[in-house]
Amino acid sequence: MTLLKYILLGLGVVTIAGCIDEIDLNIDNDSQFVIVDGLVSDVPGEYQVKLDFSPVIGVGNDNILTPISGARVELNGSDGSSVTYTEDEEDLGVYKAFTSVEPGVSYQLDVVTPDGQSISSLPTVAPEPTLDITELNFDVSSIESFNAVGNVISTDFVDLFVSIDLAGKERHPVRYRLDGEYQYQEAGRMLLNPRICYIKETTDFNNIAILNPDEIASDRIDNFQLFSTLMTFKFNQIYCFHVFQYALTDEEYNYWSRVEELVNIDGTLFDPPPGSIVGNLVNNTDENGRVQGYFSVVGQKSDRFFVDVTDKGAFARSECEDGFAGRNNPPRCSECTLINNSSLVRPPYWEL
Amino acid sequence: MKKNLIFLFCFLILALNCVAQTSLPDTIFAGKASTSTQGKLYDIIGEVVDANDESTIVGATIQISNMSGGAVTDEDGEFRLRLPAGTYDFIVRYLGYEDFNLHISLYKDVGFSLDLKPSSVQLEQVVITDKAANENIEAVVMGVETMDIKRLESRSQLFGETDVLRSIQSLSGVTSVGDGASGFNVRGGNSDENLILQDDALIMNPTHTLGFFSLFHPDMIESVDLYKGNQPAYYGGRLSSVLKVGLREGSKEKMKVRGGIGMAASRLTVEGPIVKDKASFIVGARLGYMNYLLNAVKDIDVQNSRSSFFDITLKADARVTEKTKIGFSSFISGDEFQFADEVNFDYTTRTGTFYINQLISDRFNLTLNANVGEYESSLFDIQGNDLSRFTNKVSFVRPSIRGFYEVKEGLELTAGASYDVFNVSPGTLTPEGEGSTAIPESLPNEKGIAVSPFLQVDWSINDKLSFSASARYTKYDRVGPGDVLIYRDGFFRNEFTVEETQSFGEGDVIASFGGWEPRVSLRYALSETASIKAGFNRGFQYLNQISNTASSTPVDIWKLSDTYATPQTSSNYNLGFFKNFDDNSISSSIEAFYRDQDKIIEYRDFADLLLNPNLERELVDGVGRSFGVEANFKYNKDDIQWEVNYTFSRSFRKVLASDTQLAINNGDWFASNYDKPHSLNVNMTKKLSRMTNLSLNFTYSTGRPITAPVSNFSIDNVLNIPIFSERNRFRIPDYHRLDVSYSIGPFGKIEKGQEHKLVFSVYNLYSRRNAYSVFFRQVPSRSISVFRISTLGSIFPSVTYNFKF
Repeated sequence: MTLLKYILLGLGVVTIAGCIDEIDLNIDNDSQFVIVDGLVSDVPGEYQVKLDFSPVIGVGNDNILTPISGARVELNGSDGSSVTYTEDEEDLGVYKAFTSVEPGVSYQLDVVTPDGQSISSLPTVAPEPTLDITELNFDVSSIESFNAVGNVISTDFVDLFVSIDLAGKERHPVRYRLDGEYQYQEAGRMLLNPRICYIKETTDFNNIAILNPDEIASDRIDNFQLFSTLMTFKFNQIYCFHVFQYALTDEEYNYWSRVEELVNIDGTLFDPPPGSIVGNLVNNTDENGRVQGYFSVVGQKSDRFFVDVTDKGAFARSECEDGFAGRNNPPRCSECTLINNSSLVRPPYWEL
Repeated sequence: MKKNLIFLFCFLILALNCVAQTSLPDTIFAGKASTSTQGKLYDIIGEVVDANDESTIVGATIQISNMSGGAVTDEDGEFRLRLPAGTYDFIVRYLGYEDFNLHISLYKDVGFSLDLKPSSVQLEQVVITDKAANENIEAVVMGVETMDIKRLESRSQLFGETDVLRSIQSLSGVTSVGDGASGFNVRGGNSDENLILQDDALIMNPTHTLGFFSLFHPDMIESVDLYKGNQPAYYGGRLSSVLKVGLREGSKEKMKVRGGIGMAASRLTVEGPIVKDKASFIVGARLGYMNYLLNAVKDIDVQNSRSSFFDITLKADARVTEKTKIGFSSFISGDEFQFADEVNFDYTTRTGTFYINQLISDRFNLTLNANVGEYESSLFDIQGNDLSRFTNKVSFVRPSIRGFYEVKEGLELTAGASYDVFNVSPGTLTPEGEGSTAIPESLPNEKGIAVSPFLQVDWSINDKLSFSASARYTKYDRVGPGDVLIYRDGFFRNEFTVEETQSFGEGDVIASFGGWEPRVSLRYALSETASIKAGFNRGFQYLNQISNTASSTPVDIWKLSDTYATPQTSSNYNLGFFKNFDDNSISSSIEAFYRDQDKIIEYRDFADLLLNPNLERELVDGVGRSFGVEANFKYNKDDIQWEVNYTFSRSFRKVLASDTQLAINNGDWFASNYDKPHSLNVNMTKKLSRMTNLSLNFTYSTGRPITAPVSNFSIDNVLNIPIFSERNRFRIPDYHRLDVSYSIGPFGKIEKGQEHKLVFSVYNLYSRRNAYSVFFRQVPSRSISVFRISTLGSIFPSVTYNFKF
């Protein structure tokens, strides 16, 4: 009977759960593509356009882009406006300008690379952001799984939701981007004056949050999930989400829908075949030269939201221990400025 | 007219003989010798059945002693001989049965039924038989594979289940895109290019449980015929192949029960007479139960998943008069699969067949056939705020008539017509639950009508040369109601290039197509043991599965050809050489094929296929070509059988479009999803002892093509977006595995018809981790890594208990 049980268990595991292992697919490739990544909105501020060559898979650290330095980058409006971007001397390939766009006006990005290639974005009319972020809230959820010895363990996640009133509003597609900021309390053995750091981070946002209200029957979107992340030590105190809601054109929404599809492809027999995503960038010099990326002209709404997981009865452990137990703390526990993008200055908007 | 009356008279005599006899003596006296009988030819019509269960035996040989020649029983277990008056000794043989010696004094037409007794040790699981030992040499049409239940049982058994689809994938020219794929691919064609029939009823999805089981109840199967090359003229509408599964008739003698209990599915069959010796029924049911296996997996999502299926097959037949036979069969199946709390889908198949077979004369046979059926699938999105159910359905009605007429010995005519009506419901989205934000949607139904008359001539001109030629004409109308958007000529179809909308009322012809589908096969015998054959056929396809995934899914929609999705066509050329050795115990063949396809349906990148009212904007026309060579070798001697099938083949597509965004791979040829250049299957079965048999199966094929990322980029510094290669530029790793099957039995009171049997099988003996799929994931410090999911990446032992009483 025991043998049968194990046979059944084995069958079930391999049948349904399957097994996953990394393989060498022998992808030989020498293609490099020009990448354009830029955004400009109706909110005045410093915006950037990033120009790179894509990495070649299998050559060195194939995650590193090659910056395109020395290019000429301009934003031209149909109203005759023109803004020239300046390359950041400390961050080659990144071109910056203090600007904004006017809803209803058409804009086009024009780039000339050092080797003479002319690249333009398709003229895009800046959309009017008509939808407000009505409400942000969060919840703590748990996912149960089995550990290596077969016991059920529970892992907590922080989920962020948005609600939007649509009644009487002109509907347009939206995309969300998040930035994170958290409070970090120093702790440890023999630490007399523990300080608090405020650390900005790019959220682990390797997913797409897009929404098309035209596909929704009701006059309100309730609790659309923007983000879900592990409840780590960063939630031990206060965590702040900076939420940016971009009003998109239909063309840009289609682009992000395809990106979402591509990012979520599992490669199973039942997945559609991946393909090349065509953005809004055209190589005027070489019609076969593929340019990847997107230059976004958007209308922007933003909000920030503070998360205290204790409001939901949860508790996120600090990575720093007090007293004798703190002998194994990482160095940042007693010197929080070691953490990238940290500051001892409390932001003026920080919630008490 | 007089000749017809003679035929009729002869037939009456034969038919009466058939009905009158119940048991057969070893000697038959058919008339008496006289001067009037000298030199005359008389017909012998016989039926060969299993003495135990009265099931017909297909492929039994009737050999005339001291003469060359004989006959082989057809798919109804019947044979026909025409011989000069005289006395003859016959030996009736079929592997696994005792030889039957028969003496006939032939001085008038005679008909009878022969009961073959199973040999004391049946060779179930071991015997591989074709219709005749030299069938491969003598048959005019090539590319035809016939498998009876014994041959099926010798093939790979996952979970101990004898499986039609898994078995035919071991044949040359037949592949699938991977473990768990729905359907199969023949000579580089899509899975929807196969016409799959069970008792002539159309099966839209031949699989259970996402492709791990086939729909066909193994204990109900009489025979399985796969036409890879030329198809009989009666069949049409699909470009690649015809898979014809025949259901057997129930016993007309006594009630019988058989079944099997397996680890993932069990089955039961009951059969018996309705009117003894005249009418019978057979009903079989299967139940698949994977839930307890899922619950045993230590993964919460898997534990919350469900998978189950059932099917019920029923067949009844009756010989109403000595000339008339009627019957019907019905089939219903249901599947349900749910993964965690995310998605649930189910699908059902329902078919019904009714037929009347009327013998008009001893040379003229008429069959009326009516098939109805439907396939319905639904996908339930049970996550998020927009809970909804998507359903789609296709149904058909197909009355047909066909007549067979033997003009003279060696010259046969088959003619008839079919009338197909298809109704397709391409999709309905229904919100589920009160709080759902999903918007209800429904696409208009589609209706198509196809009328196909045909004529087929089979002629053995002499001992060496014979041919089969047919002309089939299909007239297809896509009928209203419906609206058709007319786009600006020469422009990419989108909302901006719409010029007008044409509306059609109920029954109006929206689009009409028609064409000849010629089919020709030639055979030239080089000797008694060698022949060469050639064939050509052309066909159209009007009903297409809309799927841009590597394997079709149970919820893929079907679409009728219309103004923009015009009928696909395929011209197929075949050439083969066949040679047998050692008294036909060794047979070999080599066949070459070339397929030229036009108007094949391809999809633009990121095609939106679900609930799209303007599907024509997502589809692009393509052309295709496939070619290959198939080599087969069979050895069948003493207690061991070998079968080796090797195929080299290529399959390509090309999509040219005026808009560069629609052209795939810049308009160059690219490998289709089914392009697997090398494919090898080796099957060995050996009788180890009186009650034990061993079977080994090895299969190998080149990995299927995939599109892989060749670079990547990031947006907002965080989101990594892969840049993919041209379509299908790379391949997943090669596929291979070895399966073993060991059977004990039959044991029990065999002489009383009570049998028990145990089958132990091991699937994937050396635990090859074949890629079910390949996916790409970013890992730290590297852009993209390649991972393989091996759904069946381990050894699969199973045991099945089969019984019969």
